Amino acid sequence: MTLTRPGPPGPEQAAAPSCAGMPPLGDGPRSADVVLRARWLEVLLGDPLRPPGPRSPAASAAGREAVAPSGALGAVLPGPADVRRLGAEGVVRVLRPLFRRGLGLGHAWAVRPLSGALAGAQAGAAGRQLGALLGPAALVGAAGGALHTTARLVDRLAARAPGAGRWQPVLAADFADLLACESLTAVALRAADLTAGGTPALTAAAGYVVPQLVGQVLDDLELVLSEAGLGPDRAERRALAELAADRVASGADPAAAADGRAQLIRALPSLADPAGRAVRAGQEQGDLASREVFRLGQAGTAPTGTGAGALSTADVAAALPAAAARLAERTDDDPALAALIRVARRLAGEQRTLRLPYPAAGHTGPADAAARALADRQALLLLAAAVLGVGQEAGGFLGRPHWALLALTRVTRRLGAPLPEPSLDPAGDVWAELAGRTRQGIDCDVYGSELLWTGTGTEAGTEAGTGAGTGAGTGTGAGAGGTAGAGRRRGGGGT
Amino acid sequence: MSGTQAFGAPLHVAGPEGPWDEVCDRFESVGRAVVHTTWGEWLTAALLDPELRALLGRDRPRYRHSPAAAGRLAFAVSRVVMKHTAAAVLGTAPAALDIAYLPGGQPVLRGFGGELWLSLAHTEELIVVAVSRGGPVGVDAEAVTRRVSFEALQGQVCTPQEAELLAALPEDRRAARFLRLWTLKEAYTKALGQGMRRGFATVGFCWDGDGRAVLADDSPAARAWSFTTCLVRDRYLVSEACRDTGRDTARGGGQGTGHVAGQAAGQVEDRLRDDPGPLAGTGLPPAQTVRS
Repeated sequence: MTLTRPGPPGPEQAAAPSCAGMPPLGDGPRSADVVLRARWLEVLLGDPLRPPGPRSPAASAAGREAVAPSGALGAVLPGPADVRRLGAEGVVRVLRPLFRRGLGLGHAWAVRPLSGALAGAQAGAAGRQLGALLGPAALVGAAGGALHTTARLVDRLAARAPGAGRWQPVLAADFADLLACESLTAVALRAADLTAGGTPALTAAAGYVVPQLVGQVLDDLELVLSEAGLGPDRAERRALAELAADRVASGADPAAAADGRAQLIRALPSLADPAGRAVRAGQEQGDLASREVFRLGQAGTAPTGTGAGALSTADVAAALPAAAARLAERTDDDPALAALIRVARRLAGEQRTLRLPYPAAGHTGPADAAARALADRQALLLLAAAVLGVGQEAGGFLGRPHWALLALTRVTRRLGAPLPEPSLDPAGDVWAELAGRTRQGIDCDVYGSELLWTGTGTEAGTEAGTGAGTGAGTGTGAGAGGTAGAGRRRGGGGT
Repeated sequence: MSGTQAFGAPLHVAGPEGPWDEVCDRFESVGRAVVHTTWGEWLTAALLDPELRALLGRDRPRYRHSPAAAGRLAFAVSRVVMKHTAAAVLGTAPAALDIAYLPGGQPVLRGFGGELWLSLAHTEELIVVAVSRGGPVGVDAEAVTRRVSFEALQGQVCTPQEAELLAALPEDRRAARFLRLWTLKEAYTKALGQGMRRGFATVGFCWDGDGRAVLADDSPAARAWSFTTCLVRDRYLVSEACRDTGRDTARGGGQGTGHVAGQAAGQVEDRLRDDPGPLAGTGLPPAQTVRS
C-alpha cells in the first residue's frame, strides 16, 4: 500500500516548499523550527550503529547517570526558555530522537533537568503540565523505537519464515496502542499550549494510563522476539532488557501512576456529564477549542473561548460522544468506518454509565477501591476521546478509521464492555502501515516523522549488533544492522 | 506428606466467611498469598449471595452466557473467590473491587495496577487464587492423575536440555517431573501475561542443588523470579511463579519462600512417584485444566 502520513495542513495554511533531503516542515515557522531542531539533534546524536564516539551517547547503565551534555548537544536540547517559542508539543517532538535512543539517557538529559526547571512557579501552569508529561512522552518514544526495530525484524523474517507472520497482528495492536498513548500525551501537551491553566486531569490521565499500556506493549515485544528465536544475547533483546531496567531505575512510572490516579479521583465530579457540558458552555466556542487541541503538529491560534481555562478535560472527554455523532453523519460506504462508529457509540454509552457513581466518588480519596476503579475507567475513556479526536482532524493514515478502530476495540476490551459484532479486522491495514514505515525509514509516531538513520537492510538473523551503544530500539537497525558499519543516512550529504 | 503444611504452601479457605486471618498474615509477612478451595464449598454461599450480581460486575454477561451449567457455576465461584481473596488482603469490601482483564487474558484489579497482582487457576473442582504485592504472579493446577505424554509432547514443551534430563530419568520419576515442569511453565507464562501465546519450549527451567526450580536463563531479570510446587488435597499439583520487584525482599519473600518450597517440591515428586493417589489406577481420562 502507499505509505501515508498525517495529512497536510488545510488550504488556508501554506506548507513550506519541499526540498531534497529536507523533512516535511509543516505549516509554519514554529513547525519548521521544531522539525529542523529534532533533525539536528538526531545528527548530533550520531548513527546508532556506529561505536560510541566522544559525542555519541552510550545508552547503557552509564547513560542513565550521564550528566547533561555541553556544546552543540547541550544547545540543541530544549530548555525552559524554549517552551514559549516551540510550545510544549514542539519541545517533546524535538526530544523524540533522544527518547528513541534510550530511556535512561532521555531521563538523564531531558526529563529530569527539564521537569525540575519547569517545576518552579515562574514556569506557569503550562510549564508544569509539560514537566509532568515528559515522562510519558519519553516512554512512548523509547517504546516506539523498540517497536520499529521489532516490526522490521518480523517483516524481514516473514519473507523466509512464514510462521513469523502470526506476530503481525500483535505488533499491529501494539502500534495502535502506542499511537493512542501518543495521541493522549500530545493532546494534553497542546492543551497546555492552548489554555492558560492546561488540563491537569488530562495530564494525570496520561501519567496514569500511558505507563500501563506501554508496559504491555514492551511485554509483547519481548514475547515476539523470544518466539522469533532471538536469544537473550541478541542486541534487540538486550535493548529491551535495558529499557525495562531504565524504567525501574527512573522510578517514574509508579510515581506518575499513583499521582495521576489521585488527581483523576479528585477530578471525577468535574468529569460528570461531558456531553451535557458541551451544550451548557457555549457549544460553538467549546467545539472550536476542542477541535484545535486535536490538530497535532499544527500551529494553534490564540486560545478561543472566554479566556483562561476555556478548554477543560471535560471538553476533551466530550469529544468522545461528539466524534461518535460526527462519524455517524458521514456517508462513506466504508466497512471500517461503520465498525468504528459502532465501537465509538459503545464507548460513548460506557461514558454515560459512569455518571451515576460520580457524586459519591468525589467525596472519597485515593484509598477507595471504587474510586480507583472509576478513575481507571475514566482514564481509558479519555484515551478513547483522544484517539477519536486526533483521527477526525488528521489526514492520511491517522485520518483513516483502521488504527482508531483497533485502538478503541482494545480500549473496549480493557473496560470489560461487550464489543459490537465485528465486521472486519483492521489489524491487516495497520500492520501494512507499520511495515511500510519500517521499510521507508518513517518513525512509529503520530507525525510520521522521517528518521535520519534508516538502517543497513542486512539480514535480521545476524549476530548481536555492533554494540554501538544503541538504546532501547532506535528503529534504525539496532541489532538488525549486524556486523556492518553505519546505517544509511537519509538525504545523502547535507541537512 | 501433603505439602499443605509447608511454609508458602497454598492456604485453604472454605467459604466467603473465611477465616481469612492466615491469608492476611501470610500476605503481610511475605507479600503474597495463594488460596485454594473447591467450587462446591463456595457454591451455595456464592449463588445465595444477594450481592452476586454486583460481585460479578462486568463478568456477569460472561457468566450468564457460559453454555454449560457446570462451567457457569465454576466461573461464577472462581470470580467470587478472587474478589474475596483480594478484598481480604486489601481490607476492603469484595463488592467494591472491579476485576479487569488485560488483552492477553490476565486478570488485574482495576485501579490497583503496580500495587496488587492476581492469578487464577481451576481444574476439576479445585480453584486456586494468588495475590501478590511484590510483582507479577501466576498459578497453575493439575490433577496428579493427568497423563501428559513426555514422548509425544517433549518437542512442544521442553527445551533440548530439559528433554535430555527428563529422558535420563527413570520412567516413574520422569512422569512426575514432567507434570511439575508443565505446571511451572503454565504458571510462569500466566504471570508474564502471555498465556498460550508463549511456547513452552522457549522457556527453560533447571534445578538447583536444593531441588528448587529456577529459570535456565541466568540473567538478573530471570533471577528475580521464584517458583514453588506443592501437592494440594493429596490430588493436585499447584505451581506458583512470582517475580519480586524488590519491595518485599526484606520481609522474607522471594527466594526464601522458594527455597523451603523447593525441598517440599522434591518430596512432592517422590510422593507422586510412590503413590500418585487413589485415583491413579482407575483409568479415568486425563483431567482438563480450565484456563481462567
